[in-house]
Amino acid sequence: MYATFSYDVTAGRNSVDDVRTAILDVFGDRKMCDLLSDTFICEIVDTSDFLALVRELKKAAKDVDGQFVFVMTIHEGGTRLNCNADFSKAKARAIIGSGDDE
Amino acid sequence: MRTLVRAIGLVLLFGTPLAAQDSPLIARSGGGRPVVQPDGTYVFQHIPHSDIIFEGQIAPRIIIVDSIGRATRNVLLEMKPPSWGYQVSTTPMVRLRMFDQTSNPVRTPSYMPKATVQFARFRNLSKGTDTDSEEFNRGPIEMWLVDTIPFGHHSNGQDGCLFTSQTRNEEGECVVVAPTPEPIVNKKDGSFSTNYIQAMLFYGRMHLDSSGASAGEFATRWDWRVGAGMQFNPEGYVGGSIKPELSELYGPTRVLLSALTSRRDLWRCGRFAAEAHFQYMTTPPPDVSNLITQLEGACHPRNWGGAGVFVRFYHGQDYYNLGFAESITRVMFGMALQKEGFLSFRISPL
Repeated sequence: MYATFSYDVTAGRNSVDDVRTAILDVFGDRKMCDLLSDTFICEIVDTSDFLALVRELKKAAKDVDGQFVFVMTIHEGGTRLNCNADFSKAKARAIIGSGDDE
Repeated sequence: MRTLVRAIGLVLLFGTPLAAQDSPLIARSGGGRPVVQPDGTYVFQHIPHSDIIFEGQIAPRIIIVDSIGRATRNVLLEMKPPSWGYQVSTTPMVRLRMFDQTSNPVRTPSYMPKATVQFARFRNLSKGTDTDSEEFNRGPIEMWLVDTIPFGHHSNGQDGCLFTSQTRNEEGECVVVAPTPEPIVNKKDGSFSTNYIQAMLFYGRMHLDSSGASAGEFATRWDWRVGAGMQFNPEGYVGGSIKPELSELYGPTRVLLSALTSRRDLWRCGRFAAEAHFQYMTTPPPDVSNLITQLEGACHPRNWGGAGVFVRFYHGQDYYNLGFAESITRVMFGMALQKEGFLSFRISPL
């Protein structure tokens, strides 16, 4: 499985770089592939893993005083990613599985 | 030659459904029409050995309308609302026994078409309140299931008289011409026919997890279900209903009890299931016990397209049309097609 993730950072007490670091720390060593600077796909084990990630992201948002909001969508492994982004096919293939990456 | 006949019989009975189906062991939420509490498709032998080469049952369930699949989308919502679904289906069921006799006859098959109407009610019993949490989504999910057969037919497609002592007169009615001390059932071409009504109420729970489930869903890891009900074979219930002479011997009123449990991914079984079914006949045939007992264990390995192996103990009235006046005790073993997929449930929108 994989998830698409997009986020918006707003100005506030924490610097934009600190907020970005707080977000990316949640993803740790997961395979990720950028679609845009603030949109990427990442590997997901199963629905429990997805829910745990969402919970951690919500906590991270709270820790930085709500300076980012996000959208995360879960996809079945091997399902095509239909989007116009210019991204690394090899990275995406490793995340999506079954070679359907475009 | 006989081996060839047996092989062809097995292929015809079992190979075709195997080739035609690749049933998943998990019924995806909202993605189709889940099959709940169906009859199975089997082919098997038994011990102690008898003159039967093999016995089989072909029972594909044809779902006409369904909302149970849609109901599974709403069970994991935040307020834990009860979710209702129904399903109307028909099953053109056939049972066959091939006998080890000259030309290996399939003697008087059981034709058992039926209509099934089910109502299911699901509710999340989890103590968790956070829809993001695993505790909330693991359930257990409670299920009440009303499983009814408003019309079921069981006949053997023959036109002979039921007893060997009878023959048809000019009006086509069977009359006794050679009385015997006890009526002997004409197993060669005796006419057997009954229509029945059946209703059962089941209660069960499903324990879920997300491993192996589709994206955004939790699927049943293990479940249990118990049920009770009645079956009636009334005289005069549509054409082909039971006749008085058969009704006296068949055991037309029955109390039904069932208990089932199944688990996903146990050892090498994608689905492991254990079932116990009991029937109590209020007026059984002479020399046949009131109670019918059936115990079954089945394993459906992963990647077998839904096929599996089973072993079953059966004791009580012979269920094969003209065998109704006899009692059998058998251990059956053979292959079965997957009977029921593990229900899965969609997580609440985040």
